[in-house]
Amino acid sequence: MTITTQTITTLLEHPDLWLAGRSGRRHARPGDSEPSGYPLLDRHLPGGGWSMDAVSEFCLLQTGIGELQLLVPALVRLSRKPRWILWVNPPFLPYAPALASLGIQINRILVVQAAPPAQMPKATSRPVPRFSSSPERRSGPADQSPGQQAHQRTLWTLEQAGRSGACSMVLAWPDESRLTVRDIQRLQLAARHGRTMITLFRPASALQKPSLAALRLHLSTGLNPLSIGQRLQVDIVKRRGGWPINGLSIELQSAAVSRAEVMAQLEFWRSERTMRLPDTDPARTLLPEQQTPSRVAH
Amino acid sequence: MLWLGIYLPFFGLEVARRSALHGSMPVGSMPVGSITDGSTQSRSGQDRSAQVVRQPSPQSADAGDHANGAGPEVLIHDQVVVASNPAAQALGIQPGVSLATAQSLVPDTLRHFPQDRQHEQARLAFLGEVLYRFSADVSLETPDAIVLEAGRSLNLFGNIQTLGAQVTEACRQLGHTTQIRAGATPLAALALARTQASTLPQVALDRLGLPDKVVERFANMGLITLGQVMALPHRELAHRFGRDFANHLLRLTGDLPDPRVHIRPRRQFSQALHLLEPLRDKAALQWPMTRLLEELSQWLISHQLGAEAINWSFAAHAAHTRVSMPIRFARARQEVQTFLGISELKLTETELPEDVLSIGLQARRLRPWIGQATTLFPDMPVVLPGIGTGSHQGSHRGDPVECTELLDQLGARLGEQACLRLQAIDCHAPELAWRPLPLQATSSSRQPHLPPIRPGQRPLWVFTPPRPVAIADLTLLDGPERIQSQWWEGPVIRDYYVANHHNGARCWVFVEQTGLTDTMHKWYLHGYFA
Repeated sequence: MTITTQTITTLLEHPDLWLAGRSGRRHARPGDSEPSGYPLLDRHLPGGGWSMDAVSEFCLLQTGIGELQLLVPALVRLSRKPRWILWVNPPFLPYAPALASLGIQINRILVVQAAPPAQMPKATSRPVPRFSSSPERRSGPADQSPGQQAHQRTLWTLEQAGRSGACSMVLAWPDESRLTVRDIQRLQLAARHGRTMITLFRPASALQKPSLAALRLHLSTGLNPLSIGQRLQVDIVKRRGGWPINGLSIELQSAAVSRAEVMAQLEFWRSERTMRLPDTDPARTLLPEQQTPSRVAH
Repeated sequence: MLWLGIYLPFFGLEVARRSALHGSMPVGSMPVGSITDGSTQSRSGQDRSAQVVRQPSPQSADAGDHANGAGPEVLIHDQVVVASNPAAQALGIQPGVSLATAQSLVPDTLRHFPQDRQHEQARLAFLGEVLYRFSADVSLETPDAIVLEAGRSLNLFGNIQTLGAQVTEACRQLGHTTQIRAGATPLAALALARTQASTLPQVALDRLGLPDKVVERFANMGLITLGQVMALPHRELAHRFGRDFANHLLRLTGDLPDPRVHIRPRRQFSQALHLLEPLRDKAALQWPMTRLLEELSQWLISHQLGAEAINWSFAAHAAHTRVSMPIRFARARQEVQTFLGISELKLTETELPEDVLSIGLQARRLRPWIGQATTLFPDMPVVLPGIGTGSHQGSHRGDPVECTELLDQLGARLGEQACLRLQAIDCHAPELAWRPLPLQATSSSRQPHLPPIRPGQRPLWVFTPPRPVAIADLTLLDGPERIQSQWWEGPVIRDYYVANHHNGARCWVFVEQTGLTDTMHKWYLHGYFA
């Protein structure tokens, strides 16, 4: 038996084979991954972007540190395709004008509040039998507390959205206290079936728990809260076909203010601060000409 | 002109069983699969070689309807058997015997149903509407037959065999056994369908629906079949048996025109099932609901309509407690399975009365049916309605994206108010610059005029309402941006700043200018840039 170069090349083309030297970009089929829009991140993500058929986890200590902006470039592109972008149980209101100003087609966005039940089943004298096809019966936990029911609704929503293939991306904020490994496994299957990117936003404490998500990121802010622009510290805790990578520092594209503006004002603020007493109100020290609106909407 | 006669040999029995089964059905155990078209088929199967256009259908998906032959069953009127199913006929129960005799023949297993003429008429009218999709000229022959003009439908259906098979199938799905024959005139088609004779002259006179006296007089003369009578001179026949009979013969042969009253289909769908015994189990509701939905689906197909909204109503006792369960769909629907799936989802979330005695179904918001937007080539880009010209990447394997399916499911299970879409509005006040859109709203392709804000000038998360925040935790980075409320809503002046919270979040905060001294100012967190 002779092994030709041809055979080896064919073998190497096998999608299940992982080559240590490459980050998997070679085997990616078109549409398998969506570039994140951050070159540094793309270099390290398997397939060169967000996996479009898997569950990704964003674990963060604090909401609002820039976790959405990490997804914005992908959202802009995905929203121009004929599939929905589903937000399940967002903690706050996704602000339509801001999303639109970033170039996201907001008519593709669907916000679903699955957790607070729209109409809780009232306690009746006799338990109302449920359809056997209902997900509660299928997953069959004895716990039927309102919280568990809400969690089941959320999971059902995520699974339907993933499985249906009608959504390109699903952003979800699940009930952390009830989320199990098995739940994520089911979501993973649904995501693969419908070729949907399911992104779970979880607290940083979730990193201690095992998870079957294909990608786990730990997001934290840069060291200095006064940092110029908005930077995000990304640790890839888990990825397909690669080892963990810590300390990617990503400069977010759509920072709230331009770099030059911040620099100028920071300089000004620092010079002011040295002259003032330490107990003064920073708001007033920052901007002495407070009475004049600084910006006119163009 | 070609006419199709559709004769329903066990129509009375089927209608009576249908209404009786709803109530007497033991909860939880439905009669599933006690089906045999086969026994009736074999009875009439000997002359299938001729012009017969019926198809044997041994497996019937429809549960519980085709019970012909399951056990001896008879239809009674005034304690006299008026119809019996094949099983009862095999045991010697013929129409005309008294119920007592029948029960003595079959002591235990005989089931009997009272005849309900009114119900039969309504059902026949409904069947006529179902068959309306095959032909524009459908007329009812009470009590148990339908005639439709097939000649003009042949272009569509190819040949009479195909059309007949489809008619048989449509009736079978609704739980009716049929005998179908084609004929040159309506009366001929009917006569052939009723008697299952191969040609018109072979038709037995006593099955033609003639008055008994006439049949008896012919029998006394030794005339049994239609052929024998038609061979006689017409003038003398008219003289002896009256002009009515003579005209009947002329219409039968087509020598005299036979204008018919064609049905006019209803414009609205509203059906109800009244059960004899209350249902206490949601699972048991599935069966009557399926039945109503099948009727709805048939009605929609025959009218080339789709329903965008349907309404269920469940009542315990006619007027006391009535629960209505409206369901809306993202696009017009026709299929039973879609209706049923969404209805089941909605049902789990709906509180029903203790005992359900009657179930009603109405179709709301009917739309002209536009054919399925399925593509011939599954990998081709699919342009979905309301989305514009975004080309779908060919990477998605399997079916074309069925967006509305998911919306329907979410709306049914989570409630319409749990799902919303967003719309941006050109307004400088942050709270008024967006609006929730209902799920089913038709998305306008026109992008609304957007507020002129820079990317990143507004936060992605917004708190409603704003939360108080301690200024000590904040590091202000940019601002202020002064935003005043609209003048007619009272003077509210806010100065907005971009700030870093010490926990790392980038915030959008404001301080309200109320004319108080600076130390009294309260800071509010209005959003995260996230």
